[in-house]
Amino acid sequence: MSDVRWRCVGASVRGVSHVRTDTPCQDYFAYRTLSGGALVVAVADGAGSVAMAREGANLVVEGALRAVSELWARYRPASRKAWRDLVTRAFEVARKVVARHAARSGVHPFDYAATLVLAIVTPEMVACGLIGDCAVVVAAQDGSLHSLCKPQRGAYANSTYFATHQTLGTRLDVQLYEEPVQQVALFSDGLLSLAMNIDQNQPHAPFFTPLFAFVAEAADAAKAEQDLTDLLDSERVNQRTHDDKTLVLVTRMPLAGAAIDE
Amino acid sequence: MSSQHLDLVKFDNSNPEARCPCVLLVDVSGSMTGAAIDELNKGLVAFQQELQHDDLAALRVEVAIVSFGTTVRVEQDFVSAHEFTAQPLRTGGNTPMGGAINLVLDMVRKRKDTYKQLGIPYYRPWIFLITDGAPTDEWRSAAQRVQAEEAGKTVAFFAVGVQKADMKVLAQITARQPLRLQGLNFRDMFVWLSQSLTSVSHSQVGEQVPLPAPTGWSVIE
Repeated sequence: MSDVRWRCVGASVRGVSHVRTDTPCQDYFAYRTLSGGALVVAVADGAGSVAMAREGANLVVEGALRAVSELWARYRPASRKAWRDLVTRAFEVARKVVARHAARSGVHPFDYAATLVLAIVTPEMVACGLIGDCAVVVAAQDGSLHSLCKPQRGAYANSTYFATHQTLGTRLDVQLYEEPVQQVALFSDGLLSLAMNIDQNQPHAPFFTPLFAFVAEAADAAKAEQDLTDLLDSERVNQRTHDDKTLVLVTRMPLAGAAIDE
Repeated sequence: MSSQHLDLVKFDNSNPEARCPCVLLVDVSGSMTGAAIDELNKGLVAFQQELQHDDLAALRVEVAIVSFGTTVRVEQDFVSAHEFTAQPLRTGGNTPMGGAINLVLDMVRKRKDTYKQLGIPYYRPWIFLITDGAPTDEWRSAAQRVQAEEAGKTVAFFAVGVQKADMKVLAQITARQPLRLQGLNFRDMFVWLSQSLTSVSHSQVGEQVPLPAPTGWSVIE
């Protein structure tokens, strides 16, 4: 199965409320391919209220991806516990990266407050972790949709938890989906109310089905990114959400031998 | 063309819109008669128009109005800003501010219970007190409740004094700096209030919204 490949199309667009106040986009995403046909993806949303939100989102994503890559080069988790430890370790490193950066800059880590969702996608399964109100949705091989972690909301509409400085023990939600998946979507909270019923943690199929069909056919990476950006910045999206919005779509690529035009 | 799929993307409509409740607690005692109540009523109309001018604020902000004068009266129970119509308030009587504050705190608590039952996310409720005098009833216990709720971050309580209002009493009621209205500039005060509520209703995750400075309509003493 090591010849499995994944296609990744992602876009991050500044929310209209941030355009209005001339604030930069405080979402950030990145992904890396791993050996053995695996991939790691992370999305972070910097808190609108803090000074270094954008930097915080960048730091947690890059810190977590680097941690997973380095650990992956040393071993492959062989048990549920080992998978949980790997994901937890990535969040610990992400927080330490923020703490070090904050100490060097002489500010409190709170000034980098950001949420973080991370998914390690292998040919056989998905492992993910979440602190905050980002989300990860998978399409199983039978096409059924599953939101793996429940987005975390505080007592008020505008509050959540942050990966940058809060205790992992109580807030980090690690979930394993132990079946092969066809597609994965990670997204920031700006898209939450458009993409799923938040209370029931239920993905909205009419949202994801066309998006997954889109990424399955998106052979031209640059054009696909532009198309996704255009959707996220469209009037119909901006009417519904004023926050920054990030969406990363991942699809299992057909094996080279099976491709029709091969 | 893979991009054609994107035109077919449909959004979930099942999530209740977050609510941002705001109660206006208005002194309509006899001393407000004349220019003061006239300007205040004009300000209420501006408040309605400003809130309805913004789609998200119109949907998310909920307005209630309680007046105190001859009696403590719920002039308007919580209503979505887009359904809110400003009605002129009438003056008369004393200044039963303590009773009015207690009633409003009860209303807000009940409203929050309703949100919780229905699974509706909500922002911290705002209470906005406007007075031109001093309480004529028992107000210290109400002040203690306000202080406790502010400390627990369960409400945000603002107080504005008009003309000869007793600013010392207001300072004992609210944990925030009371503001004195410049003359009878209710219009700019309500425009500021609607802009602040609009900012809150647009805010997201964990945001502490920086409010516009209350310049142009208030004096800090």
